[in-house]
Amino acid sequence: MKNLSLLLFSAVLIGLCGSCRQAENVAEKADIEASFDHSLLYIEVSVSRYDGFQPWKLAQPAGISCFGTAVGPYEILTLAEPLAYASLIHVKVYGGTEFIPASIKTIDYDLNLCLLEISPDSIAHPLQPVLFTDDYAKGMELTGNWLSPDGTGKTSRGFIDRAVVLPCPTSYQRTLAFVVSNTSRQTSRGELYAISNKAVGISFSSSEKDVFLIPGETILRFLKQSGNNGYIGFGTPGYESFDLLDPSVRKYLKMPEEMKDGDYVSFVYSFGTGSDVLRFGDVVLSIDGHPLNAYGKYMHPRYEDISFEHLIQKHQLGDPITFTVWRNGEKIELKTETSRFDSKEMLVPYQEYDRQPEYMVIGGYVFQKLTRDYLQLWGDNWAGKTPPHLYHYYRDLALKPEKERKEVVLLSFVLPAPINLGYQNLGRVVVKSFNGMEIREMSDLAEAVNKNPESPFHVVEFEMEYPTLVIPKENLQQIDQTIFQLYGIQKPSNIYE
Amino acid sequence: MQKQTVYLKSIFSRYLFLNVLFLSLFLLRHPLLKASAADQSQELQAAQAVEVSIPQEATYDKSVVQLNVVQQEYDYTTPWKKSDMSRGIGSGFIIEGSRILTNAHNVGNFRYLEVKKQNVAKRYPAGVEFVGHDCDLAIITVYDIGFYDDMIPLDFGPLPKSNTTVQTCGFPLGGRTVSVTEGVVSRVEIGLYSHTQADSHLLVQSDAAINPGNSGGPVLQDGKVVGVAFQGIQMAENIGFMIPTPVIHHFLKDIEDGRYDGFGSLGILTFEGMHNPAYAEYLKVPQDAEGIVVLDTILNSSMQSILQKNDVITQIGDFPIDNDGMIRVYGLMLDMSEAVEQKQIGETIDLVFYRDGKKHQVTAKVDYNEPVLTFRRLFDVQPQYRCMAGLTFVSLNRNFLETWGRSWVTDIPFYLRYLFYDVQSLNTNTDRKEYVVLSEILPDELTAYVTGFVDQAVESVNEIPIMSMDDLDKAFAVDMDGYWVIKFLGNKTPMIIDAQEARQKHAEILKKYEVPYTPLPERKI
Repeated sequence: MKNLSLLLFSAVLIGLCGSCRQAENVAEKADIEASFDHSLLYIEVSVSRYDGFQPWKLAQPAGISCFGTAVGPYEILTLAEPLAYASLIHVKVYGGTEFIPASIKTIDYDLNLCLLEISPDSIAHPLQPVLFTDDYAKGMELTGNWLSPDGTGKTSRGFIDRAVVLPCPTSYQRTLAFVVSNTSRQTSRGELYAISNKAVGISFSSSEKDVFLIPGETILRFLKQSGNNGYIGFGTPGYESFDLLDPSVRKYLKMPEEMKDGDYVSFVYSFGTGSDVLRFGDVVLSIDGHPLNAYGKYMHPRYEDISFEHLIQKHQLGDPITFTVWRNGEKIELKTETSRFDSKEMLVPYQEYDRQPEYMVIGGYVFQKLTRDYLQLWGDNWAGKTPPHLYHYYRDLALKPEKERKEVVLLSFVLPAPINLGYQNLGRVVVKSFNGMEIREMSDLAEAVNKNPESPFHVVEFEMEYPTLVIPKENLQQIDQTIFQLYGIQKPSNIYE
Repeated sequence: MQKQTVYLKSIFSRYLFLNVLFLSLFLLRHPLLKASAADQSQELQAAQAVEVSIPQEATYDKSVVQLNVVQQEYDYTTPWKKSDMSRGIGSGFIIEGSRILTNAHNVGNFRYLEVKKQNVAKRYPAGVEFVGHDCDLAIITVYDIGFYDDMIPLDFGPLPKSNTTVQTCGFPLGGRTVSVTEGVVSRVEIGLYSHTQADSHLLVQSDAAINPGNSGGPVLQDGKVVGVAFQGIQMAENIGFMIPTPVIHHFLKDIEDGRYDGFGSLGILTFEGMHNPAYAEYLKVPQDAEGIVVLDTILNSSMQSILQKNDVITQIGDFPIDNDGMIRVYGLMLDMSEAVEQKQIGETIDLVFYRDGKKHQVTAKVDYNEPVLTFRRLFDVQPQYRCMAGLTFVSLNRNFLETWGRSWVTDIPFYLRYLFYDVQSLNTNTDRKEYVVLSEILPDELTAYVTGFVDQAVESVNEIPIMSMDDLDKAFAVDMDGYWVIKFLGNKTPMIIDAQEARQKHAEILKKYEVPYTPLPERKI
């Protein structure tokens, strides 16, 4: 009984101490919340994108919400991802009930960041800008801050666990991210994360236990360039690498035994930083003097091991960059300039946000460009479901367009009509030539339809064992008009130069 | 030996096999080690519940037998081992010559087989004399010749007509007595035989109840066999299929020489494009002509140098071909492949075709005409392998891919899927006999860093292209400055192995993982 009393007393004591600490924390957090409230915004976006298989029509508009942080009196930072295909953007400020229209000032899908602006006339008081810092302290507690749809501030908690390079949801790239663990909120729609009162990042992705942040240093680079005239972006890697862990491979590459570091170049793109100087089989020993280990990581003074992409992405375009590589049994230095490429330049674009997909309809035959968006129309596990000859272009050749093939043009499907009798199940096949002209990109189609004017047919050949497509030219314009009317096609083609 | 199918497929059949996966075979199966007396009792009760008693004077009473079989597949990843065993119950029936006809899927990969007469306790061990996996038929024979003394062989009848009555006999869900169910023939057409998942032949659909255990049982009309019950559709009710007599006769004729060769094909890919008048005009085919367009020929096939893209075949044998690729035979409109089905391997058939407006006639040889990577599931074929210091290589085939489980079609590594679907386009090398895959790396320090290369198709070893398993023996006899350099299709990064260390450790690794010892190819300098 005595022991039990003692135990109860101890429990009460511990409980009281716990309460004291809690009260202390609440007060501290209340201060933090107060400091950000007037900088937080709730954003609603109407997204209007084109139908993937019928690219002449807009799909049903969808509503998306996300969160923003004021970075200027009338400027708001948020993620690029929810702003893709935006047709209407409006925001709510702290304590506000009305939506305020906003527009995109700068958007960078490589970094997944967007800068919105609002008219000074639209709000009574300027926003309170937040200053981002590139602070990073492993293990420190963070607060997540966002504005709820009713205009009140909300917070969450978590701890900075590590800095890593992760796939960016809006680009083929992997970019620097902070991992917030043990978080009390698992969503990631641009919430502002701060250590004490210092803003260190915004959330862009999450898993069951972790939230991933675009870190302050990336945001600072983005905001700095957004302030300049003409946003040009940052460096993107022009190659892929393979962990060089196997001692046998090092010996095979004639690397000295004491040389334990270096990253094996397994694929050089047609563009991007280093693509002009690096070769398959090179071992990149260092970039700008930062030694790379066998995993392709370098030792960052604060983030510790960080993948090599970070060394390239932090450069402005045109900045000199030096690769020290092991090639043919010797160490050489390769100097070049930082460069980047746009998703549109890829053989199979990773994304083509904010523009209508390219297509051409003739005789009921729908020609489209192969893109990652197109492949994703196969739904979940699309990589395992898409026709393999199409997925092959994405998996193996997307970053290797050549003069002979800049894009992959498909006969996507056929709109059934008497003119295409017999061919109506044909689709998802790659066009090789049109009227004898090799098709390297969508814009070639516009030229190819005028070839062989004396022939009574358009003749299309496909890759693999598919039939020759024969389209009679007689009354074709009239037939096309009937088909367009029948299937609700406003515009027979959308092809960019 | 088992072999071959019809390979006259439409271009649109490339993914169609997914749609027919629900076709189920009606061999009653369960894992061998989990079977119990209680299971059997339940089967018996279930079987009795659906049985129809048959009069003793019925001929099939002394003709239909039950098969009890133990089956065991090979392990296609590490082929020195075998997979789990399973036990199954099927049906069969006596035909002339003291033989029992049944389904191939009842006896594929069998390890033990016994035959049982209805209501007789004695069990008769048996063996498989011939098996045609492509047509799902097999001939088995009971070792005890006295078995046949009181049995009556069944005769064969014609192809049954639609809307006529048939009786299906067999042992659905097991049981001791023959069950008979009556049904009506719904249609006769060419369809997929789900045993191999790749072969299509003539089949008869009826609404007679067919259940697991019925497989191999006779389907009778007027006391004669008009088919062998073999498969149904799980998601449909009262749809059962039988193998009709034209297919049975082909099988029986084939084995007359003591060997089963299988069904042949012409090895051409075709397209029903002649519906389009512009296409027909472009191909310069006479206005009143109907036929089917050639898209391609299988590499190394009997028609490779004879037919070419955009030829239009208008007649096969004596049968004019319509624009759907159909011919009139047995009073039915069937796919033109039926004309080839009537031939044995090595026989010929005449073709009439148009090329550039000119009419041609050729004699085509019916042959196997298989692509190097067949769609077909294999049975009774011991998989070949090579194990080089723990690097295990196997031949790429459907059985290996199916080790990924039910969703193998979407779950297998991309490049294997690419090869499986598009081998006709991807392989242009006439010397290629097969694709070889690195199926397993038996863990050892030697290969600790290269496990990521597992399940990739081998392009070359030490700069020697790998076109067959035998090429591995040549390729591993050399090395490149002391290393084995193995390249894979669809992967630019090579696998590097220290050759000297590998040679030293080869025997030790094989011993550790109980792989039957085979020496490494002798090193050539």
